[in-house]
Amino acid sequence: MKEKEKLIQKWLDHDLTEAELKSFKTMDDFAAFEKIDQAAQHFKAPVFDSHANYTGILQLQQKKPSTSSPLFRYTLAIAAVGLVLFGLFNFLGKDSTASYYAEIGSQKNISLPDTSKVTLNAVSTLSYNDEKWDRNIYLEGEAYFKVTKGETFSVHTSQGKVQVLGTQFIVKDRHNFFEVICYEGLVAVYYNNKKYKLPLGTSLRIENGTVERASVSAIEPSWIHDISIFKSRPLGQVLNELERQYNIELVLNNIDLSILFTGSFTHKNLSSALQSIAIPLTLEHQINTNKVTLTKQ
Amino acid sequence: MPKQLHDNVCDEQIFKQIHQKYAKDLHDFVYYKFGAHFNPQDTIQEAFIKLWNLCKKVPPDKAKSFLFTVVNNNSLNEAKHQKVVLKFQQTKPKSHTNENPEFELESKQYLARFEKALAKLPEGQRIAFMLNRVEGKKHQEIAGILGLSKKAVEKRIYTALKTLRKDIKEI
Repeated sequence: MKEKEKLIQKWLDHDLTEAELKSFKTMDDFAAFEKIDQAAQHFKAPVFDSHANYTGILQLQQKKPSTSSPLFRYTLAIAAVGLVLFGLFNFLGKDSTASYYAEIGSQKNISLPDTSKVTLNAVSTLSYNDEKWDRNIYLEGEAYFKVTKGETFSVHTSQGKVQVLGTQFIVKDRHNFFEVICYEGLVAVYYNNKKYKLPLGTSLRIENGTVERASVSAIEPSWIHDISIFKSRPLGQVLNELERQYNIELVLNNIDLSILFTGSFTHKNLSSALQSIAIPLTLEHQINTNKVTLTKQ
Repeated sequence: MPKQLHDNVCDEQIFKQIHQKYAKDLHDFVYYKFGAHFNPQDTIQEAFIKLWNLCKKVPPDKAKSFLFTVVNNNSLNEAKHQKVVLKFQQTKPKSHTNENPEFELESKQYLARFEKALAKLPEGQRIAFMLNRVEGKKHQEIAGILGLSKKAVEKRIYTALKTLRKDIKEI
């Protein structure tokens, strides 16, 4: 029995000598084994063309090789075409920075390379390095971020830096006014070499150098629903926002811009937006195509 | 331990050598493990592209296990719950001679039973058995491919042979 098993093992290892093969063939089981062996040949894997497979890899290879060796000739051809296109874009004034701008009265939804979502409010610019995505974003204006969890995500503005790992927040960087509101998770704000931590439901407002914290009950910014809400904001700021949401030219007669305003206006209808601002402050308004005149009563 | 000449696989020559060395084995491995639904070609190309993208982190002697792991993981997701079917090759092996119709019918039935029995085998056994019988590899080579001891490979193949024989008889 032992001898028999040894022979089978040796047969399985393609290791039988002539003599052993002879005695193996005389075994009772030989016919059955032979049949199995024959049958197995029918289920052989398809022929594998290693060369074609390798060529395919070179073609699929999209990223530029990281060494300087004369690597991947196929990709070089593709890269050459890419370079031409790239040059063309450069010529047209674009570069490796991806840049988005939301025009007056519009918003822009952007998907970042790490699947984070950004909504840009009107008259805001967002840019990042498209070639080397490292979760660094440059913002001018106001934007709502929904950041996918991962490494540190940084928003750089002219006034301060905001860092998070993965949360929802807005950054508003307007003239002499910097505001960050955290809707989810935890946000770190760097301003003047100081670090401020914002847990969810809180906001940080920096105006003319003074830092002010407040709590926020909203779960997302109102402007993504086409409404701008203000709480004790100077009229100047409100009107600036109005100018960003509507393509209008404001003419102000005898108006105190420091007067505080609490209320909201819609982004959808200029007439009702003007009424919501003018009536509480007892102002008179006139619309003449895109020229709007506000007069103190 | 001798110092390795290259500490990663970012060189085209090395990368190509690794492909030449392992692509066929990877292909057979995937085929015998998951069956014919699968496109082993693509799976292998994906794995090699991944290797290239991470080439700085992978020393040449780790490339093989890297590739097998990637191929295995990528295939597992797709192959989940799918029954393994090894495609019956229409082209007959060379050893086949012309037989009378009766014999051919019998052998067709036999092959059908064999196909079922083969699909039923645990994948580890099936891979080892097919690499051995069909690809003509020695136990030691298979042990190298699968990262097992020679003894374990022997056992798998031997068990596979016995199981096949038993199952074919029973069906």
